[in-house]
Amino acid sequence: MLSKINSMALNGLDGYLVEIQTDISPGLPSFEIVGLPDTSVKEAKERIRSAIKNSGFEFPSRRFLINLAPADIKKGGSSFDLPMAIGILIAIGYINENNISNLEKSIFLGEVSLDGSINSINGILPMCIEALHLGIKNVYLPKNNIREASIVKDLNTIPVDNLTQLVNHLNGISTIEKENFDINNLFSCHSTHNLDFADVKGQENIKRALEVSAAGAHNCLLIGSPGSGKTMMARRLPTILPDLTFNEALEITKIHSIAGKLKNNSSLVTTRPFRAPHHNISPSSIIGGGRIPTPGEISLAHFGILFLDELPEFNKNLLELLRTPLEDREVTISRVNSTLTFPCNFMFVGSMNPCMCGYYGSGVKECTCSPESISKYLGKISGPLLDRIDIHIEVKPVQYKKLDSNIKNETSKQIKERVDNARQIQLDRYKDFNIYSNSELTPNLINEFCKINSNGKKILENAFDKLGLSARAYTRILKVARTIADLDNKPNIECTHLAEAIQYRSLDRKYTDKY
Amino acid sequence: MIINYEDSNFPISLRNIPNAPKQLYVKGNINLLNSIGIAIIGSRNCTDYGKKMCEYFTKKLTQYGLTIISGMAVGIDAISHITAIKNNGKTIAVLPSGFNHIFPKENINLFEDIINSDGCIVSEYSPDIYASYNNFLKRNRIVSGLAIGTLVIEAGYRSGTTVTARLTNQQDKKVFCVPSNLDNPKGISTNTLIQKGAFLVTCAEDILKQIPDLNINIINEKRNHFIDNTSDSKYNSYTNTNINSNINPNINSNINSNINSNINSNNISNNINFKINPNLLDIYNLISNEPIDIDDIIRLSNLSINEVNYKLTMLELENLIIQLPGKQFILKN
Repeated sequence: MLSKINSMALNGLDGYLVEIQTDISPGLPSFEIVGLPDTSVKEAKERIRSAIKNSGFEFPSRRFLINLAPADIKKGGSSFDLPMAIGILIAIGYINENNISNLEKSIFLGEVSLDGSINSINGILPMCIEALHLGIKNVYLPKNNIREASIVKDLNTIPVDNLTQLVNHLNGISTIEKENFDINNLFSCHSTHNLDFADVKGQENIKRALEVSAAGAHNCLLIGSPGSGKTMMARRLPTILPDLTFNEALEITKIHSIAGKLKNNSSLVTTRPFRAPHHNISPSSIIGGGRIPTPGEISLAHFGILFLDELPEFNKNLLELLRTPLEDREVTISRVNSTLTFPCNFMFVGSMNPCMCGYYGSGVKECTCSPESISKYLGKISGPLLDRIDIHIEVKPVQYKKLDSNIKNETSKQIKERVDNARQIQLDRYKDFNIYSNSELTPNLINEFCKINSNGKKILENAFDKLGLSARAYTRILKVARTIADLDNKPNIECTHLAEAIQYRSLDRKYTDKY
Repeated sequence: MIINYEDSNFPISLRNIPNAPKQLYVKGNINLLNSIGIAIIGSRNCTDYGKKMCEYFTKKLTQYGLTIISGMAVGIDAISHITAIKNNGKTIAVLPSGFNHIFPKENINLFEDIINSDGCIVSEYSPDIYASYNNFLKRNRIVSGLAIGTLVIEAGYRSGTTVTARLTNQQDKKVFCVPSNLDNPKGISTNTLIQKGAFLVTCAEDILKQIPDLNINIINEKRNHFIDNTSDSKYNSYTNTNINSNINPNINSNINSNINSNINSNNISNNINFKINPNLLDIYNLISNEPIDIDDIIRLSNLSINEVNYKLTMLELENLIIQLPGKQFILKN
C-alpha cells in the first residue's frame, strides 16, 4: 500500500516542502530510502524500525521503499524520522483511513529515538514560517521545539512526545493537549545582563567611545596593553545596545535555529547576540560553510556583536574574509550542492595589543619591541580591514587609586537611554533609505546628511595636515561625528562633534613614530 | 676613498687615541674629519624625552657650528643625524660595517641623506665586511675619537653607550650627560655616569663652556636651559606678565649673527600662549612636559568627556600639544 505525507526541509534560511512517499510491496524483506538522502537520513531506517517495534506496533517483513520528493535535492538531518515513521504506519494500516485525508494540510517534523519518543530538531522556526506561507494548517513537531514554533501565530502546532501518543491522536482515540503561549509575553521577558558598565571604575574615555559606537553601530577596535580591560569593556557592550525589534528577533532566531544554537524549550532570542570566537577558528566556521552550508559566526552575530579578541592572532587570510561581509552585510556561500546567502549585519569589535610585548605606550612597563616589530605587528591588520573600522579606542590599565575612588559610575541603563535616543533619531532620519544606523551611510548619503560648515571644513583640513590622518579617515570621521551630533541631539554636525570624532582615529596617525 | 694612518690627511684627533685604526674608508666630505665635532650617542630604543632632548641639543650644537658625530644606529643616533641635516649642519656617521653592507639596513636612506647633505661616512672596515658584535664596540672608539667630547642623551642599564663613554674617558675627553628621571629605565646609565663624574648638562652652552679652546661666541648663557625656557614662558602666560621684561633676558641681550634668528623663533613659539583661545586654556594648563593620561585630564578638569576630546583636538591642531601612543598628551616645544 502507498502513503503520502508532508514534511519540511531547509535550504539556507528558507524551508521547502518535502513529500514522503512510502510504498510497501511483497517481496524479499528490505528497507530502501531514495531521493538523495545523506547518511543521517539513511540511518533513520534503523531508528524507525526499532521505534515502531518498541512502541508496540508490528514491523512486517515486507519490501519498504521510501521516496523523498523532490528527489533531486540532497537531504540531510534527522527531521524526516517522524514523517517516515508515520508514513510507514499509515502504509501498514495502523492509522484509520478516514483520518488520512486530513493530513494533506499537515506536516510532520522530528527525530525518533529507539524507544519511540520524539527528540527536538534544528531549524523549526524557518520551516514553520515557510509552512504558513504554503498554507499548511497543522504542524506536528517535537515537544521541546514547541516554544520556538509558537512564535508563528495562525499555525496549529501540535507538540508530540512519542509515537504511540501521535498514532492515538491521529486515530482520534485521544487528543494531544495544545500549549498556548502569549508571544508578547515571550518577547517581553528580555533576559537581564549580569554585567554592567557601573562595574568599571574609571576608563570614562573608553566608555564614551563605546557609547558612540553603540549609538551609531560603528565597528570599533580596542587597543591596549594586557590586563587593561579591553575584553571586560567589550563584554559589557551588549548591555548598552538598543533593544531588539520583533522582526530583528525573528531573523536572529531563524539563524540560530538552523545552526542549532537555540536552547531546548527556548523561543525567541531576545537579546542581541555576542559572539566571541577563539582565534584558532577556521574560515568556514567564521563565514559559514559545509557541504550543505550552515551559518558561521558572522551570521550568528547578525544584529549583534562579533568580538574578535587578540585580533592580530587571527589568521591574516581569515581576517581578509571579513571584508566583503562587513561591507555587504550578507554573505553568499557557494558549494557544489547549493549556493546560499545568509544575512550578517553585525557590529564588529576587535581588541589587540599595541605591539608584540604588549606594553607600547602603556606607561606601566617598558616596551621591549623594536620599531620594526611594532609596525610589523600593527601591519597584521590590513589597511582595507582598518578602513572598515570607524572607531579606534586606546585602552590603558586603570590605576589603583582610581579603583579606590568613590566617583559614581554610570550604569549601563543610563548609557543605554542616550544610545536609544540617538538610534531613534537615526531610524527616523533614514526610514526612506532602507538603512538603520550612521555606520551604514553610503557616500551619497554622507553628502546629504553629514554636511559641515566652513569652520568644520577648516578643522578637518587642519587635522589631515597636522595629525597625518590618512585619506580613508575622512568618511569615517564624518560618520562618527554624525553619531556624536545625534547623541548631542543636534541637527547639524558642529565643530565640537568633528573634533571629538578625530580623537577616535588613533591608528590612522603615524602610530609608530618611534625611532 | 681610503686614508691610511700614515697619510697626512688622517684625522689628527684619531691619531692620538689608543688602538687607533690602521685605515679609514671614507665617503662624502672628507674635510669634516678634521672639523670640530661632538659625538651624540644614546639608546636605540629611546623614550620621547630622549628624542626631544636629542633634537634640542643637536639643533643647538649644529647652530654653534659643531659637526655631529654618531653611529647611524636607530634611536638617538638616527635622530641626531637627521636633526643635524635638517638644520643644515654637518654630520659624520661611523659605521660598524663595510660600505657594501650598511647597518642597520633601514637607515640606508639616511646614509644617502648624509652624503647628499655634504656629510661624511666613515668605516674602518673594508666594504665587504658585515657588522658584528665586536665591530660595534670597536666602532665606538672612532665615534668618540673623532669628537672633542661625547654627549650621552639616554642610555639604559648595560648599554653600549656606556662603552663609548668609557672609551671617551680613556681618550682624555669629556663625557657630557643629559639627566633623566630616576624612574626612566633609559636613564639609568646616564644618571650613573653623572654620579661617576660625567658632566651634567642643562643646555647646549654648558658643553661649549667646558671646552674653552673652542672659542665659540656663547650667547645668552643664562636662561637658555631647556626647562627654564618652557616653564618661564608658561608661567608668564598664566600670570599675564610682560614677557619682554627682565624675566627673559633673551630679548634684551645683544645678539649678532644668525644665531639670533633661532632665539627669536624660540620666543615666538612661546608667545603662542597668548593666542590660545581662552576656552582651551583650562585643558592646556593641565598638560606639561610629562605625559598625562586622558583619563587624568578628564578627572582633573571636571569637564565632560566630549568637551575634553574637543579641546584636545583643537590644541593638537593649534600645534600646542602632541598626542603620544596610549592617549597621553604632552606639550609641544
